[in-house]
Amino acid sequence: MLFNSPSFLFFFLPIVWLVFAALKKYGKFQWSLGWLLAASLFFYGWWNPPYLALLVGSIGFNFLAARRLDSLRNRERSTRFTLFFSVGVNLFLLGYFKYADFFLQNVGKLFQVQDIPVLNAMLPLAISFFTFQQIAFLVDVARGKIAEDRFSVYALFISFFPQLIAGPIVHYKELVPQLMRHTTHRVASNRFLSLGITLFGIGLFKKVILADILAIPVDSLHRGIQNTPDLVSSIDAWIGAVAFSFQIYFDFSGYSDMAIGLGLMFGVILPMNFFSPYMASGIADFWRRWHITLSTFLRDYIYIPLGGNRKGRAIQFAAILVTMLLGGLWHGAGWTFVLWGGLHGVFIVASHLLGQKASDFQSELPMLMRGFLRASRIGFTFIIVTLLWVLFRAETPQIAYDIWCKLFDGNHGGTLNLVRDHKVMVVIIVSALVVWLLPNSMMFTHLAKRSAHHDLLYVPMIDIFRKFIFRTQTRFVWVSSVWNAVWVSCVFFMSLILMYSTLSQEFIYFDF
Amino acid sequence: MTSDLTIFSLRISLRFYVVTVMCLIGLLCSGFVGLNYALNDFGLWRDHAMPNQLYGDPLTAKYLLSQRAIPLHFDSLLIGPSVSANVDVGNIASLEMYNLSVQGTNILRIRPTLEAFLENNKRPGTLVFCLYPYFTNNLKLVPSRAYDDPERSALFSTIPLHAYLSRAGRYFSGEAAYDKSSRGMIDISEVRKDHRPPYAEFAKKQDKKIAALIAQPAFTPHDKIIDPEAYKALAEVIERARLKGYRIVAYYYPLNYRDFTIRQLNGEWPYFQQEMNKLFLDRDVVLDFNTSKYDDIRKSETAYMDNHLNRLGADRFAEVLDDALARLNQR
Repeated sequence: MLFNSPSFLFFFLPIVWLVFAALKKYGKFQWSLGWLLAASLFFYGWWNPPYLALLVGSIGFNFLAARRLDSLRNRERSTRFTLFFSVGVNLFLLGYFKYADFFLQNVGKLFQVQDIPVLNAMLPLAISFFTFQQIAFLVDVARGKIAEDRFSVYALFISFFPQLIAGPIVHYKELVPQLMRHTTHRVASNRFLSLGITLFGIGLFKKVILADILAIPVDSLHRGIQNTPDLVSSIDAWIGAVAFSFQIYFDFSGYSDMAIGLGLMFGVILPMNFFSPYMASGIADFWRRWHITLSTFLRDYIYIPLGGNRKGRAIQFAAILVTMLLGGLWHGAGWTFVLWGGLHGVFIVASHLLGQKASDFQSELPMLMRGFLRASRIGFTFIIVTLLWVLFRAETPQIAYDIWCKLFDGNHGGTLNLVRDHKVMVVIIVSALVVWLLPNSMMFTHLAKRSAHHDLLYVPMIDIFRKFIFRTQTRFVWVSSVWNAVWVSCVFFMSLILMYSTLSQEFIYFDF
Repeated sequence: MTSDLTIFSLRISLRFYVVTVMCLIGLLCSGFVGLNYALNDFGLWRDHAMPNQLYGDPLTAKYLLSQRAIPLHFDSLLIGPSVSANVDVGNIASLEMYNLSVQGTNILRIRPTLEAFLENNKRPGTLVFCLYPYFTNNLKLVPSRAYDDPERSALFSTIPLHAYLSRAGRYFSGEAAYDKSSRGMIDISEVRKDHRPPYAEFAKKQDKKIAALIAQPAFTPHDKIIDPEAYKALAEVIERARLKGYRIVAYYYPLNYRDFTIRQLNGEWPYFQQEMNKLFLDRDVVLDFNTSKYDDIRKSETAYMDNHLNRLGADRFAEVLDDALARLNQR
């Protein structure tokens, strides 16, 4: 079931919310949690019922492993062994479903074995997300940071439907205390409900109106490069590449907004997952803003244990490269993903090498020049990220290479002519305005203030323009006003219409 | 000091905000759905003159029209990709024909629409297939909610809105609507003329390709010429139409002579013809417009915009096709 499908919006969500609200209102707190767990499992099982057993089995195994780890708290060797074993089982499961065929095919190629048998196992939905979430839980239990002895609470923590399929990757401490807060019998405050609906509407708009329309030029470019490369011009290639940068951002951040909005409707604040990544002034900065919960996971559970920045630059750079290679591989079993992650790692290392010098140089410049320099760095970072997204989207490295060549060959003679597709061009322009003019959804809905990443806050361009043009000090943020109610309704309406008249497109990150 | 205010800040209570959003969404959706039902632009709920709503998403529009409107007004179809989409079948007097062709589609993509027509039409007429390699390429079916639930999809459809806006735009800029005969023609030369370089430029590229192929022969792999899945789908659809009592006519699209030469040199055309011919029985009719008899079209420098016939060429071809079909009718 997709968040942007009629069955979810008109049946699942209203029923689940109303029953949950009623149970809470009448003081049936435990029942309300049970209901949420049942709904979450139904939500997952809707996709492919047999795979529900896999999710439940994985939850059961990890719960038992966590109990065991908890009981071994003062016995370091046994704790370490149990942790390695249980994390190993999780990684084996992930590896079996996600990487086995990739591994077998490459072994076949390496040893030139024809027709090597592959498993063709169907990738269980969200396996990468719930595996990582559970590994983080096990590590935290082993470190003695947390403990949980209620199976139903643990199961709800993993399967809570707003974040189950594509994150945000939630830590135990971020979710469970909120779920267990039953001092109030109300499902969520009116403020949470209003913000939740607003955020869900923004996410729906990002997904259905922006991302799904942007998929058109992206598909045209990749199909064109494969079938009729002569018809693709350099401009087409740029339009397709930029469109994919926006598509993947709106697709995934739209999903995150919907997930966070749903969380709010159920009285839970899920962690922020995106914070204007295309406002980043370097690749390292980009990763502090893009898929924040995954970046945090990779930092806490791979980069820091590998040595982080405590053991000298060489170790630090090696740790960055390994972390980013694994991060790339997490996204998919393919060389394009590995290369994509690796190149991001290389750019992060480069930005570390140049960062300090650039910062020293910048601090001596006048403010206007600093602003200009920052804008240039944002633009440059966006171009690098866009070029790397080409690799991420391409089916093979060769296709990515062909598109890169096309981007810079200066050929204007193609007939694909994406530039003349008015709908696409309008959506690209709107996307650019949303990305670089408006505050991001977290700032708009005040959730950024509550986040651990509030150091990323900035003044959106629209507020700067308004300050200079209208001489107003007010900020472009959400308040419960008629105006906001009207545009949120319109955004919902447009998304619903488009959702019904076309088929709901899956979220890109569902494949991971 | 900054404050958290928007430009038009008519503050309301949080509870009222939630109620307002819900009510407005309901109001807007019911208004839109009510309007679509009242307009009945796909002829799904009431009979009226043949609707003409092909703007924006012609494939979905033709699918919705195939539920009721097309079978009500026509018994025969022209089916193919973009190269036959711009044939105005209003000029073909010999058959009560609708042009089901859509640009960017192969048989897999058009199949649900064709199947819907075969299902809903009770007066079997003639199915005319335009045979061109694009029609059997490896494009996959694009899922659409319309295929699962046509009525609901039509109620929520933005195609009529798009059509009225496009028509208004064209009216005010003095351009005519592109399907003048309401028979499914999508005039690619008019819709997309500004998308394409002049024919001379295209011809120059074609000439280069011919020279390259002569200098160094290269053959297109067979699975790139005809996709096995598409081929199977075409065979199944033809068989089903035969069983329903339709007369099957197929024609090889008149390739401009440069395109024809290229496809001869790389082996595409002979293989394509050989495989396509296997699909048809003796009682079916297969016409080939790639003979010298049709050189006035094929060798014309003014009949094509690229490998597609332009308006002039398409109208000339419609006459030729009408003539051929009329002769068949006399048999």
